[in-house]
Amino acid sequence: MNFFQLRLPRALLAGLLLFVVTTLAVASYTLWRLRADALANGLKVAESQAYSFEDFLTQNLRISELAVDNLMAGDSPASDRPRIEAAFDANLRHSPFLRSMSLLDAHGRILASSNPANVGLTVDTASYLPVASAQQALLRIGQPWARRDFANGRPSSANAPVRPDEQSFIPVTITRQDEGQSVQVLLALNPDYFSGRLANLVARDQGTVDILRYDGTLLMSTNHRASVGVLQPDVGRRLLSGESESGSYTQTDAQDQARLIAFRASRLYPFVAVAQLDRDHVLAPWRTEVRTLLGTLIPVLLMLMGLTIGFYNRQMALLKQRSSAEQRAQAERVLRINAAVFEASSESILVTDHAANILSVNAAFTRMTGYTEQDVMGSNPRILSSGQQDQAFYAALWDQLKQTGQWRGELVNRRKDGSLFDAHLAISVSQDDQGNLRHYVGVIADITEKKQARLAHDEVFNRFKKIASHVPGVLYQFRLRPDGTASFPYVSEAIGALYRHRLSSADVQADASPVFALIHPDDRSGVSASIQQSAQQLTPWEHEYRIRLDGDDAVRWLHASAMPEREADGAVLWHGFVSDITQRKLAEQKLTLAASVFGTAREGIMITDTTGAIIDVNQAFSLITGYGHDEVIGQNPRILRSGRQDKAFYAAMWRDLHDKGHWYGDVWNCRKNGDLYAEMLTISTVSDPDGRPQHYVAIFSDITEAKQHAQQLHHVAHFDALTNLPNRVLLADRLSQSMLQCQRRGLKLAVLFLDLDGFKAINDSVGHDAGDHVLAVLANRMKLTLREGDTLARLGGDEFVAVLVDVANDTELLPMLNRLLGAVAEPIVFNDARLQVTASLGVTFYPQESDIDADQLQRQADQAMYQAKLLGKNRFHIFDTEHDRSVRGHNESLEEIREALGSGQLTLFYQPKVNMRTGRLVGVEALIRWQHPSRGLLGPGLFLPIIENHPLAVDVGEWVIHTALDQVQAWRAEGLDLPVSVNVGARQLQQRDFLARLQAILAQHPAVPAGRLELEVLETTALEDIGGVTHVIEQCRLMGVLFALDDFGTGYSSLNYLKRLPVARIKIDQSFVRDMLDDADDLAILQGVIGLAHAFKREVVAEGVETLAHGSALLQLGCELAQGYGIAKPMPGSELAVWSQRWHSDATWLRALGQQQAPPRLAASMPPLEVAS
Amino acid sequence: MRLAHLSVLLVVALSVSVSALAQSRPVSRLATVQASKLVRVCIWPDYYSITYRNPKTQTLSGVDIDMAQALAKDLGVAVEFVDSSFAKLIDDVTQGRCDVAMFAVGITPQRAEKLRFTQPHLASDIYAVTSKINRRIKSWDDIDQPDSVVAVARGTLHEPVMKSKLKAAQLLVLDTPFAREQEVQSGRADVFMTDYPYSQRFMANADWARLVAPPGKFHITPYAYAVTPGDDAWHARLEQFVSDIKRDGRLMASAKKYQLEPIVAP
Repeated sequence: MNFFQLRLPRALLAGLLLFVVTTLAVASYTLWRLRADALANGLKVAESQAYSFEDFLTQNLRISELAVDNLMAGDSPASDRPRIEAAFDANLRHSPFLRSMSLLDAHGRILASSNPANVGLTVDTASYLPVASAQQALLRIGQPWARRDFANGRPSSANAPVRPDEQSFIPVTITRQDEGQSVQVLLALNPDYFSGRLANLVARDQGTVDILRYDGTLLMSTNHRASVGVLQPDVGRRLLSGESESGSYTQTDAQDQARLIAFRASRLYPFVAVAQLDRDHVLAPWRTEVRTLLGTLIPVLLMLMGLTIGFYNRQMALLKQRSSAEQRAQAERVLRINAAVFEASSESILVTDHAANILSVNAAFTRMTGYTEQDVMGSNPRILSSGQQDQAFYAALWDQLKQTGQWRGELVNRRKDGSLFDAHLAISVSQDDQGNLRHYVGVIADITEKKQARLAHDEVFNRFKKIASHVPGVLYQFRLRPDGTASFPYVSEAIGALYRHRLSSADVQADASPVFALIHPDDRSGVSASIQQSAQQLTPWEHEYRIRLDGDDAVRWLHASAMPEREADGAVLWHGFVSDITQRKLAEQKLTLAASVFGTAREGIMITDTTGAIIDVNQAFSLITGYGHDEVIGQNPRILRSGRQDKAFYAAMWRDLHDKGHWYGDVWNCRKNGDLYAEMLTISTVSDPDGRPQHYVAIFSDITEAKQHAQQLHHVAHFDALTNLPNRVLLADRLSQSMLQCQRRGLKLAVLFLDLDGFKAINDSVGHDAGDHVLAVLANRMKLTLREGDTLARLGGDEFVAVLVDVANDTELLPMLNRLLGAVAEPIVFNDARLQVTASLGVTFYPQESDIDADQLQRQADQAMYQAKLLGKNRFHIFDTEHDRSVRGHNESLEEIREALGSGQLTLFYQPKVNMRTGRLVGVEALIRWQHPSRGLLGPGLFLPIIENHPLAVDVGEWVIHTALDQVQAWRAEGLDLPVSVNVGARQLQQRDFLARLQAILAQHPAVPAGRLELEVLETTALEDIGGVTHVIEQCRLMGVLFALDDFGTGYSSLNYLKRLPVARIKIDQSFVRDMLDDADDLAILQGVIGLAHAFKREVVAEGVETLAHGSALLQLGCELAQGYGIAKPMPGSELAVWSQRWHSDATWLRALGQQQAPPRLAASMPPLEVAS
Repeated sequence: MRLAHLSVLLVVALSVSVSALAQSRPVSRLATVQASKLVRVCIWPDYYSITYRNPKTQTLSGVDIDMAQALAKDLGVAVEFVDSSFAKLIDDVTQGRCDVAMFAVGITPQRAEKLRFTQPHLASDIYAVTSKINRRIKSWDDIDQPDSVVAVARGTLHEPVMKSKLKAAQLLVLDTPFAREQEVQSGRADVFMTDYPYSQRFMANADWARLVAPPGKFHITPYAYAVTPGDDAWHARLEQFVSDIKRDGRLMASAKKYQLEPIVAP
């Protein structure tokens, strides 16, 4: 109570004070602002008064001037006095601000006047302002005069002003030029008109308005005590100094009277209006406001404070009265109750004084300890000490008592009879009103029995808990009540781990539903049903089911089992166990999957033990081999052997298996029916964990058809279908080999180029069948003419090349040449027709003085053949190497090419690739050109071979990729999004850092997706280093850059190679396409290549499409993509957009090709697939 | 029916006798007015509250405008107002430019010689008007001082009254409209003299002016309507009219409208 009485009034007072101070501050600020506003307004009023009076006077003077101008305008001569005076009178009638008007002569004498009394007077106007200047129209103001008019008036001066009670007027002259003569009109200005007007607007006590001449002479004033004519120098000074024409300021005069002053000079005439406002008067309304506000505010504040304090005091008094009476009654009641409790308590209670001497104990104390009150009165409670607690225990006890006033704890006490008992002791400190320690009160309970029981219980419980937590899995009790609700009265702590800490035993103690919520939805009904069954029949429950948790291994398999028992209330209680069996389940699933793969795989699978005995085979095995499952179990795979592979083959296979654990390759085996078949076989060793082989697993697929196809293709690719002679491909191979042999053995060979004379005529006149027959017969004849070991090849059409090895000298060869000519010239009978052709032969030899390759040799022979034709046909001609050397030697030097690269002479042309069926432009091939300064535009054949084996090739190659990507970017900016393919040379591709450099180039063109770049690699290049190239192609594909195999068909592509090269696209060499319409061989090769490409899911692009006929044939073969002169020639990048539009709008191709039957669906539109090795 | 015939006959007989009379003696204005169905009334259009023509709207107002219209109504004729002034009053009435002058014409001996007045309907003292700023004229006694200039309108009753009353001050007699006000406002004159109706109305509008009233009675003049002498019938009719308007309250009602009830004659 004291506390409240002391503190609250202080807070209250502070609050009230704050309120009063804030209110007064706000009021003061408001009043201060109002005062400033009032003063600002006063100045504004003064300014507006000065303005309006100045304006009023200026207007009236202006009217006077106009009146004088009117007067002058009339043609009354100055001498016509009555007329002038009448005009003056007329003027005055409407001009109350004029008292009189007079006409002056040059000497200032009044010639005529509205007031006849003025006539004849001389008025001195010399001192009028502004000072007169000759010949100028001017209004000048003079010193005010006293009295009514000039006739009886008196001019004033600064020293002798007009008396305040005197009438006055202001003389004003208006000068005008009239027909070369200066006319001066003298006005008596009536100041009363103005000051009367002014006085109406300005209350006398509020302020005054003065009109001053520019020099400060007072002309008129609303102040009736003012003497006009006096000088008021301060305003005059301001004006004359040119400081300002108008303004306002506050001034305190000699009587300490503050005034707000505003002045304004006339814009036309030499006077100024000065308005003065008494500041006290301006502030008068404000003072009234101050008085009103404070007069209201202060009493209100005082009243509020009084009311608040009064109300508070009254509340406090009431509260005090009420509580003191209640307290007394309460104290008595408490005392009575305490006494009863003290005696009746079953716990011992002892009370000591502040020195811990026992004052009182209750009956329970005596029962518990054996001591009576008399025994212990005045003693220290130490008598109960058993000695089992040490000094530190009691020190801590006293310490806590002092700090908190109470202590609670267990200890062992000693009874009077010496026996010990466990006690729970609570001591509290009792204080009087002043906070002094008066008593200690101890309450002792005997807890001996309770403690023993607890120890026993704890032991049992701990044992159970240990079992429950150490058993793998979760132990639980599950209770299903008759109303269908369920709970887990007990669940061991392992439930947390089992459910990834999504559940704890506490979560499910009352309600089992969280557990059921986590059961996999598909398993929930099964779990429920089995529980119901167990509950009804009281049979043991066992179930496997899934639960669904969050996270990676979200679904877990559980196995649970439990024994049910029925409880008295009809509920069923299970005691059971649940564990995680996910690992086991996964293993089972894997086994099932493996079994299904084994059974359904299309590849044959065979499993043997380490001795080679077959343990198991799958269904595909039986399908491929023809052997049933039971026939082969226990047998050795040897039964499949075809004998095609030798012992070394198998030895190598076993070595691989032993060393690497696996082997793969193609094997020819024998079916049960004796047929041979090719299989692609992979054998893997299955080892036990210690690495000891347990089984061998062989997986194989039947590739017989593909093998046959490849063999066929190989033949087609190397032999001419019509004559069965080697074709140009095989010829090139054989020639190279022969040249190699010649070098090695120091032998000489001859290359013969043979072209039939007159063959075309047979084709044209007798027909192609005859032509074909002639070719076949002649091929055979020529072959017979040549020796064993020589090669005769058909290049195409009627061109043949023969390579004659081991030629001793030129002369030895001559008979052979003549025999050949003779063999050709022999007539041929076809369908009763006698046909005859001759041959022209060109011959060259190898080796020669300079180094020469196979191609050059062929070209030399070709040239020589051409000479033979020129010389009259049916003859041979031997190539003159001496002559040729002087003709060649035109090699572009490396330096020149380097310079071309540096100086921008190299450029790229782009040849479109289109889909002939849809007409869509699918991409372009970048083709390099050299804009040679003297030789014009050169194709790549003229300079790329020079740098082929030089590092410069890499620089040029990278320049091409750069430039092509720049172009793609430019096209994209134009809205043309095209992939570009770039040829990559062998040297560039074999650079160790090719991939990194490519990536860098791509990074420099972030706007171009990597997929817009395609690299073309020559088939021959790819084959040189198939492992390295495959790696590069794989890596590029990861970057998004795809590869095309260029000039396909010119190398020795075998099925294997094609299979291993992961190119996306195959470009068929133009030589095949160009001749496909005439040459059955080429057509066959095309067919083969296209079929092969489809089989391996590669896109095919035909190069060299020159006519619609080409396109049409290709479409029939199933090749839709093409490029060639027939579609578009290579063009500069800038022309492509225009071409593209024209191509689309032209569509001749499409129309022509569209008439044909739709070709079979193409692999071209399918994504490239990875080819398994 | 027969009675109606009789009255018609009587009227016819009366009119015949009147026209017979007119031929032998000068015709009364009453007859002319009734014959022409028009009464012509002279007014002074500068006379505030009496006969004032608002220069802006050109509408006439004042007690005597109301009374002239009442007269026309009583006579059953239309009214035509003829502009006049105190300077032209006698000529206008005697030369027949109007049938009656109804603009509170003060009965002065000079006018009574030439005109015949009805009984007075108003009576006003003389008042002075000066400018607020005038330093000399503070009270009535300041008026008749040397150097003072007193303006009056020519022909008004004030001209002879002031001429006879002023001893020291100079009298300025003016005859252009509103000339008195202009002279005082421009300071060429100190005061102008006028009567109650004019001063009341004038002071209500001029913010520059100040009224100086005589301390006691200075010179009360009765106002009446004037006709040409010698037409007894016309005069009698007008006398009758003035009695009528006084009796039936039309005069008092109109005077109240123009705040002139203090000067309505009994």
